[in-house]
Amino acid sequence: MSWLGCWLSPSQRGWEGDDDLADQLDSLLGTGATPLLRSLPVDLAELAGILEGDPGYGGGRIDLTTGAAWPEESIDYAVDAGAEEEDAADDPGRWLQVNCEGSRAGYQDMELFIASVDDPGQADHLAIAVEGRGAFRRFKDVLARWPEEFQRWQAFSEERQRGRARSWLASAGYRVSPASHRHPGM
Amino acid sequence: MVYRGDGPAVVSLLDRGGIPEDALQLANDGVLAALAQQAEGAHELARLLAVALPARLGGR
Repeated sequence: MSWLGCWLSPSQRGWEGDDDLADQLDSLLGTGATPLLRSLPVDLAELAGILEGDPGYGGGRIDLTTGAAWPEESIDYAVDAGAEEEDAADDPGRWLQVNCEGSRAGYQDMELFIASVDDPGQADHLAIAVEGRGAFRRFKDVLARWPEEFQRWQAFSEERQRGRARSWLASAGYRVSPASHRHPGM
Repeated sequence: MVYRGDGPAVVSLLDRGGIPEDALQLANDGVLAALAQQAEGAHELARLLAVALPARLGGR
């Protein structure tokens, strides 16, 4: 496999969550100690959506019996609709609280991405777009002019969010258990 | 295929075409699934990724 040497640019070093993932990999390969983390089948994209979503929606929780990440409003809705018993919804042994951490990290991702754009003109447009309120929306609107860069941004952003979610989970004492045909048909 | 936990398909994809440089986290999750399913080629990939991740960390 000759691709290994081409994917480690200096700007990518030290990404959050990489060390947690490397520890897990080392452990599985028998080349490192087993991390003292409990295994949980969490969808990191769902967790990232809660961690970095709108603070107005108030975070969410992870169901420790299933690994499902629920926005707080979904739990409220489930209780109101009778799909979830109120006692179970308040059971601290069942839930891991997830507080929304806001958009600061996501904003830094945009800055980091802009620094990686080769075309000075495009980089300049994007730098202007992220100034002031509504930065995320404007950034995506401007980036949509260049489909290749937009696609690169989506991969970059997902990767960064995934790493932060993994890191958050490790700090809470959990690691992601490998997917085992979790979502058939996707 | 990572999301549906299809380990052999992940191994096949990475083996054939490599991975985008900004998708190490996603690729590793796929390889972890492949390892758990004992997919052919998963160990070799895992070893390569175990080298790549510390490199992105700037050495551990």
